[in-house]
Amino acid sequence: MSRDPLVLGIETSCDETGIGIVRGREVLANVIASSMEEQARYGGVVPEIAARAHLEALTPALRRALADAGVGVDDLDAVAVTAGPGLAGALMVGVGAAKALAIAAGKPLYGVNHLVGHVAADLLHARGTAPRDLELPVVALLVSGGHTSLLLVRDLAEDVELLGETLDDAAGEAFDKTARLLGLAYPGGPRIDAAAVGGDPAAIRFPRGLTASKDRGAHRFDFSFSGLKTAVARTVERAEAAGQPLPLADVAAGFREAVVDVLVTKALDACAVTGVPRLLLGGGVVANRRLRDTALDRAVPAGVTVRIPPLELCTDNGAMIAGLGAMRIAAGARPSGLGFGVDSTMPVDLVQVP
Amino acid sequence: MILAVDSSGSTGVALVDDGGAVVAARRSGDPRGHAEAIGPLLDAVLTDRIADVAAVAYGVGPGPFTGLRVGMAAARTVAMVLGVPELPVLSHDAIALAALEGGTEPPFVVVADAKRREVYATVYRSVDVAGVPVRDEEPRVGALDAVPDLPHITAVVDPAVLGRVAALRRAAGIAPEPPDARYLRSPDVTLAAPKRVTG
Ligand SMILES: [Zn+2]
Repeated sequence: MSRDPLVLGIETSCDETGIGIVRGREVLANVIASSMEEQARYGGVVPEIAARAHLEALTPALRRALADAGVGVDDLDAVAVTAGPGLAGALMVGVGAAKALAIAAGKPLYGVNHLVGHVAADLLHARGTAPRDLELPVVALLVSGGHTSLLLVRDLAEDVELLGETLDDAAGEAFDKTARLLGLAYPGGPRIDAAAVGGDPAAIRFPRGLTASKDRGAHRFDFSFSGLKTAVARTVERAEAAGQPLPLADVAAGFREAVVDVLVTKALDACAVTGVPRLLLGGGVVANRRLRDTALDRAVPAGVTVRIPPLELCTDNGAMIAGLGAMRIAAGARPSGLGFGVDSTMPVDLVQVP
Repeated sequence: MILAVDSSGSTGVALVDDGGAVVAARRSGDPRGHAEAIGPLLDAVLTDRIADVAAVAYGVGPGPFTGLRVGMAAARTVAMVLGVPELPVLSHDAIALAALEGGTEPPFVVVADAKRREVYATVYRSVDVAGVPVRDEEPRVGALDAVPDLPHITAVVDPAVLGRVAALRRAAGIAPEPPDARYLRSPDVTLAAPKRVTG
């Protein structure tokens, strides 16, 4: 291929229907339709609601992405789709559409890993802006409502290792569930941020999961947020039982501090242990300013450089999937077969399904 | 020609001509695995024939939701790529036409397992101008006891027959079904209420 490949990416692993189009690393379109408003009344992502919304949003989003990019289906060099990990029923909508698109348009299809896509997002650049290079290897901390993972990326297209992940709730999910405990709306992240204004993050010391010395062996880079959630519930119930008003700002600030502290501490520890002085943040929870600020503040004395993709590329999106597809093509990878299925627990060392 | 896709049960893809005769057809015997099957089936039916596709028919259910959506998403996407019309078809209409072609005259009721000890049921009492059985009312989901006392038709959807429903109806000038999936049930919402953690 004499020029960078033009790739359309389809992402439906959770509650965002994402269609992106890239030429190499340049983003030509990034259309995101979210079912978040429908989910809001339930306080979290309901898989069946997400899957129904994907089916309705998919072809309109495809049309819009092609129009935004100013390209036709015939112009594409390839189609990429999230094969996993994620919600199985949601993933299947995207995979069904992607296979149909590839076959009807006569294009090769790449079924790729959603988490690795989050890392690929960092290499993308907007139309008309200069490309940025990513120095490898890099440690990646991916945090969203669906996942909390620490990766060691040696080669984006083919060498990604899982250092650790959450053993229970994802960090974003912990925000959502804690928001419900505190009587706040969905999504929890921005509501807890708002509630934390003026709060003292040290007023209540909430637990940091898997940070005890006994956890430094098997779970050094793993996360657990269920104990934290329970501690918040206990605080709420104690206040109720005592007939006292809940110190909401302090609880929200203390909770957020506990989540952010664990995330950043473990990420920087991973940088130290692997000897990699580079940390990349990805996933929707990166929208949380406290997380970004804390990572940037603590990275400096640790000698670690932090990279954060633009926010619209941090949340789940199709451009990152298209970008990862383009990187696979550049690395000489063969397309996936047409018979692959979705893998709701697809491991990160599988960058693309065969 | 009309490309027909149905995944309201197992996955099936067919190509029929404008009179409804089968040009090519492939079915998966697997009641699951829709996301896997749809690629090879579409590929087998469309290879060398893609330029002939003038419309895309697809089953809108009722049927198990997860699989149903795979065929619908694929069919809508093919129609979009080729720039041809969508012809949604109630999946039970294809079962009803197959029964009629097999010699069963209405009235009858198409019955399909809906799990949770319920069935999807659609009652057919006559035949329309296109020669396709016409349903009495919209399909329902409920207890088997509540199904009208008529001969039961239980069969999987033949995608070629689904394509034929679309071809016959289109030739007779009958408008296609609404394109929406016939879930017939509200989504399961299983977010637990917060539990008490202190005594
Ligand atoms: Zn994600």
